[in-house]
Amino acid sequence: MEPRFTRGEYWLLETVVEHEWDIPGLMGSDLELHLNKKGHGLTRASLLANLYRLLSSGLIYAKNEVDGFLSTYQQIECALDETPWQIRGDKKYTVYGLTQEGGAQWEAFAAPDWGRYVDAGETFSDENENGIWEIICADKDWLDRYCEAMCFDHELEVSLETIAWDYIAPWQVTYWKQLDGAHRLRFEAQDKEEPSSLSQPGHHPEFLDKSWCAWR
Amino acid sequence: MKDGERIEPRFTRGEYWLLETVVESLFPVSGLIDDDFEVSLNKKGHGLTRAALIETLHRLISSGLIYAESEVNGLISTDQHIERALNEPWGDTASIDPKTITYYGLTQEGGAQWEAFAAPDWQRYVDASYRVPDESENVPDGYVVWEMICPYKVRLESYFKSMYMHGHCEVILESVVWDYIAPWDATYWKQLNGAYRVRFQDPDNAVKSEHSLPDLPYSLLYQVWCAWR
Repeated sequence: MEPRFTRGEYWLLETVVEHEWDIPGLMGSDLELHLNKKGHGLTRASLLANLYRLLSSGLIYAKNEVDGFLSTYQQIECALDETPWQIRGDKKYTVYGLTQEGGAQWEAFAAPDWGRYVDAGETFSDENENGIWEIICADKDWLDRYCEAMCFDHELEVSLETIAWDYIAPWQVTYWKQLDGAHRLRFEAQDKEEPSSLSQPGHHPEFLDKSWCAWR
Repeated sequence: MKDGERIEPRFTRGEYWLLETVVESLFPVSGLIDDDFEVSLNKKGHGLTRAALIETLHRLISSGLIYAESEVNGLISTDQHIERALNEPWGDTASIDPKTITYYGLTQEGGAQWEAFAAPDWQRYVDASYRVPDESENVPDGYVVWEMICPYKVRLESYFKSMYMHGHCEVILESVVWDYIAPWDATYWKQLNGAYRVRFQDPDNAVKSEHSLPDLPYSLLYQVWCAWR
């Protein structure tokens, strides 16, 4: 049956598509800032009801290292009362995430194009003054375009002899989603010595056009 | 439930897709099964079979969230009407009388329920368009007149600058006029208290940009994998 969601339910599912999120953080005053998206807009009672509904219908799980997996309304209520943004080492730190069924139902609504999902990151080491970039995407052409645009925006000077392509299979995209495989690009890069003379245009008009409503 | 409190709407992907498609403009019903509708709408399709599409449209009409009508036939309401509307020809064919095409759009209630789900920030909504001026406007030949409107002035200034920097238009500085309009019909179903407006002339035949910018910023490439995030 086709899933049917309220804004609150969809918001809670969508928030943990890429990473688990801590339940007390859902009540934090900086939530929108941390997630870089509009908040759920739910009262505490409504948030609790939504979380419990999703939990009891098997779309999300909630867990911490002390109690393991939570299942009752009271446990979720206690989790909301934990101090937000606790140190990671604190064992009483309840997070929630998508179950396989929750992921499938989110996909049925959002219809994501996993081929265009990009995972990009930069690491540094003591031995190398350059940053080491790794970009992964199932669609090689999309990865090329992303890399070109990113190097332009970050004003990166790519060390051409360090460029390495390979293919990884399977690819664990997120904690709940695995793809058959994806292309991986690795290279070293540093900031350009002479920044571009082009005045940075800020946001692209298309981005400004769309940002008035995230769920379009 | 407290007095005046609304029941939170709950949508399937198909229902939400159909509502969201007509937030800014009406759309022809037959366009929903056109081969190129993803291109013309610039978004992922509804993914519904013809039967499911008819059923979903009928459900939205019956619950008062959308309406569908043509100038010739007026409002439609039944499965059979929707079936016929889906079969109407549309597109750039000169032989089609536009009055016979059935368009659908949001009712006030449909707009309100879409807003309850999408929680749009109308303060950031930008309406930008250009047109060929008429003779009375005293605009040089070959120029077009741009008009950009947004309730939030800082946003409009950013948009205006961004359009120029990305080479989408060339601004004749002495033609720039700012004003405030109130009320403002942001879309066919949504009115806001007011908004800032900037108008300017653009030599349409000008070289739009000498800058070599990527066609999309990487931030947009990053986000485009899923439109409903």
